[in-house]
Amino acid sequence: MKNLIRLSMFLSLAMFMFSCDNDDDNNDSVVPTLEIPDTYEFTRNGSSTVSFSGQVTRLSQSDELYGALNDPSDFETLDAMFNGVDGSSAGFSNDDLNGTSKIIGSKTSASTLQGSAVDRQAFNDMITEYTSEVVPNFDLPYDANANVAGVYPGTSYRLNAAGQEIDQLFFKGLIGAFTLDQIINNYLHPNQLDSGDNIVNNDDDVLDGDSNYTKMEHKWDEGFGYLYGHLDEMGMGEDLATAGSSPSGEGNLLMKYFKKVDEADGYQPGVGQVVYDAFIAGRTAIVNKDYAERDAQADIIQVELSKVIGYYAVHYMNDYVAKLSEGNIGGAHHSLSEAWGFLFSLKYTNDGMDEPFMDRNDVDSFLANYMSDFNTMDIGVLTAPASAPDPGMIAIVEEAFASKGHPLN
Amino acid sequence: MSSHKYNFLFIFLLLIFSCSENNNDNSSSSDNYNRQALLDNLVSNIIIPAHDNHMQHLNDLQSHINTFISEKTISNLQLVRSSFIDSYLAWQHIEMFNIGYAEEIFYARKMNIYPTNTITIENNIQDQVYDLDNDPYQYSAQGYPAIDYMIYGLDDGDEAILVKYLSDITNETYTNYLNDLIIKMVANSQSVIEYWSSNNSNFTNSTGNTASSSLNMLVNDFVYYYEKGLRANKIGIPAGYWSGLLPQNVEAVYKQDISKALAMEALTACQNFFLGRHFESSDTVGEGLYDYLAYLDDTNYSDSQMFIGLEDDIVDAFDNSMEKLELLNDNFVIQINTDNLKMLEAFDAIQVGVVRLKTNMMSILGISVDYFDADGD
Repeated sequence: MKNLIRLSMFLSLAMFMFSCDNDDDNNDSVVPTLEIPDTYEFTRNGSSTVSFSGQVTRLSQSDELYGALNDPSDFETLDAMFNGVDGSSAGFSNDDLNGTSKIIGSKTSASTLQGSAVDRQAFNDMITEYTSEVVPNFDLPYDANANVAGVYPGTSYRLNAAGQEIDQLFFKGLIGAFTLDQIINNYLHPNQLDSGDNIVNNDDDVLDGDSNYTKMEHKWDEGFGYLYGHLDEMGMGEDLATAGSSPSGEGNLLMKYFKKVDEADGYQPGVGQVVYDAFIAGRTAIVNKDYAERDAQADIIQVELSKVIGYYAVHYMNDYVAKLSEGNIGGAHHSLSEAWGFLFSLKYTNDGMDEPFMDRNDVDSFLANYMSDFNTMDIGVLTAPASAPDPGMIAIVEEAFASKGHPLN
Repeated sequence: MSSHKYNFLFIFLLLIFSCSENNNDNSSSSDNYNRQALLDNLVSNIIIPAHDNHMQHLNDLQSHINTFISEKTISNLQLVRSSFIDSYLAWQHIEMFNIGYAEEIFYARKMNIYPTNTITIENNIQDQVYDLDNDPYQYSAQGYPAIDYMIYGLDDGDEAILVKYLSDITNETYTNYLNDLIIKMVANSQSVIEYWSSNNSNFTNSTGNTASSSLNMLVNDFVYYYEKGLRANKIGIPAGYWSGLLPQNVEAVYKQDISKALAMEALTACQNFFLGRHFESSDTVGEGLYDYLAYLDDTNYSDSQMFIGLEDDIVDAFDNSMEKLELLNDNFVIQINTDNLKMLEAFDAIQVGVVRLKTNMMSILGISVDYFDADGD
C-alpha cells in the first residue's frame, strides 16, 4: 500500500510537471502552423515530401490486367499479373511493371479492418474460371439455354455459363477490395498511420530512412495514391491543380467512378472537391501534428468514397432492369455483372466508425443465393420496394446508407 | 486508506485540469481502473502456472529423451514422442509472453520457429560445431520444430529413424544433437521461469500507461501473438494468404496430425488470457481484459458506438474462430491440399478478432501498438 501511495504521489507530480508541455514553452522556437494549401503539395527543406510510386505501379498494372481479362489470356499470364511469380511482379508487357515487389493480389482484401482470405480466393477462382471456361469458348456464341459460355451475339461481352461477365465481376470487385479497402480501411486508418513509433517520429520530424517524409506522412500519401495515382495514356499523372474541381477519371478502378459521381450530371456533383480537400487538410494536419483533425478528415474520405460504391451498386441494378425491359439482353448481362462487383465492393465500405455500410455476411449470402446464375435471376430480389415484406436489394442498399445518416442522392 | 483515495482524487483532478488539448495523451491511465488487480491475476494465476506446467512437461520430455539415449528402442522413441506432444501443447500457453527475460534471450524464437531449417540441423549434426544461444541463424535449428524433425522426420518410418541414432555409435552425432536441443530448451525455460518469480512484484506494480508499463507490453505481446503467432503462422501462411499454398509450413509438419490440436490450444490460451481464466482451475475466472473493457463500458468511458459491448464481441470472435477450427482436419496439410477454403474461412474468423483486439480494444485502452504493420510500399 505504501508503495502504491508513493507511486501515485510520484505520478501526480510527474503529471503536474509534464502536463501542458506543448502549450507553452517548447524551449526552441514555436513551430508555425502550416496553412492548408490549395493543392496536394507538401515540402520539407524545399523538396517534396509526397511519394506514392508504389501505388502508381500497381494502378498501372491494373490497366494491363483489365486488358488481359478481355483477351483470350491463359491462366499462367493472368495468375502472374495478379499474384506475381515468386514474390515478384510479372506478366506485364510494360517491363517497368515487372520484377517489382508491387503485386495487386497482395493488396487485395488486405486491410486489417476488412481483409478476407476467402474474398481474395474469390478473385483467384475468377481467374481460373475465366481461363478454363470462357477463354476456350472465346469466339463461340453464348447459349443460355444450353449453359454454354461464349460471346453474347452482337456484343463483345464474354459470359461464363451462368451469364456473368467475369472481367466486370473481377474489376468492379477490385474497386472495393483493392483501391477502396487500401485507402479507407488501411492507409487512412490509425492501424497504419500510428503503427510502431509513427506518432513519436512524426512529432519529432524523424524521417523514414533516406526519404524526405515521416512514415506517417507517407502512409497518408499512399492512401492518396490509390485514388489519384493513375497515369494517362501519355504517362502523365493527375493534374494536382484541377484534381479537386475535375478529377481525371483515369483507369478502371475507383477513380473512374469517383469522377462519374462528381460530374455535373452525376450523383453527387462537387464530391471531387470535398474529397480532395479532405486529403489535403488531413495531410496538413499530419504536418501540424494534429491527429484528431487528421482522423476527422479521414472520416470524410471514408464516407464519401464509400458512397461512390453505393451509387454505382444501385445504378447498375437499375440499369440491368432497364436494359432487360428494352430487350437488350446482352447489355443487361453486362450491367448485372457490374452490379455484382459493386455489391461485392460494399463489404469494403466504411461508415467513418470502422463498420461497413453493409454487413459482409448479408452481401455474401445475397450474391450466393440470388446472383450465382444470371439466367435464373428473379428481378424482384432487386426491385421489391422498401415497404415489401422482403425488400429488394436496391432498397436495402439505399436504406443501408440512409440509416447511417449518409443517404445516397 | 483514505489518503490513498485522496491521492486518486488528486490525480483525477489534475487530469481534468491539465491541458484540454492533451488529455488523450498516453502518459497515464486516466480511467481509474485497478490495473494492479488485473496484472496480479494475469501473472499469478495464468503466466506463472502456465510456465510451471510447461516446465513439468519439458522435464518429462527430457527424462524420456534420456531414457531413449540410454536404450534406443522403438518403444522408448514412442515415449519421447508422446511427451513431446504434451509439451508442445503446453508451450501454446506461454509463447505469447515474449516479455522481460524471454524477450532478451529470444526465447520464443528459439523454441518455436517453423518451418525448422533441416539443412542447418543436418550441418550442425555433421560438423558438431554450433552456437544455439547467440547465433541468430541457429534459431530455426532448435526448439520444438527441430525436435519434431529429430523424432519424426529424420527418415521414413520408425525403424529407419531409429537406425539414424543407432548407426552413429562411435561419434553419436544425432544422439548428441537431440540431447543438446533438449538441454537448451530446459535451460532457457528455467531461466524464464526464474525471471517471472523474481520479478513478479515489480511487474505487477508497474501500473502506468506508458510504452514500458507492464500492461502495455503484455497487451501488445498478446495481440501480436494472436495476429502473427496464431493467425499468420498457424493458418494464414500455410494456407497461402500471403503467397501460394505452403502446406510444408504448418506447425509440427513431421507430426502433422497434431497441427490442428496445437492451433486450438493456442486459441484457447488466447481466450483464457483475455477472460482472466485461471490456468489451473478453468472454472475460476479472475480479472481479465474482458473485465477492464466491461468496466470502461459500464462507466461510459467512451461515447463511441464502436465500443459498446466490445468485450462480448471479442468473446464471440473467439467462439466463431473455434467453430471454424473445429471443422478442419486434424492434419492441416491434408486440409490445405483437399479443401483450402475451410482454412481461409478459419483465417477470416480469426481476423475478426484481430480487428476487435488490435483496432478497437487497444484504442479504447489507450495502449499504442508497438509493432509495425509491415505492409507499406
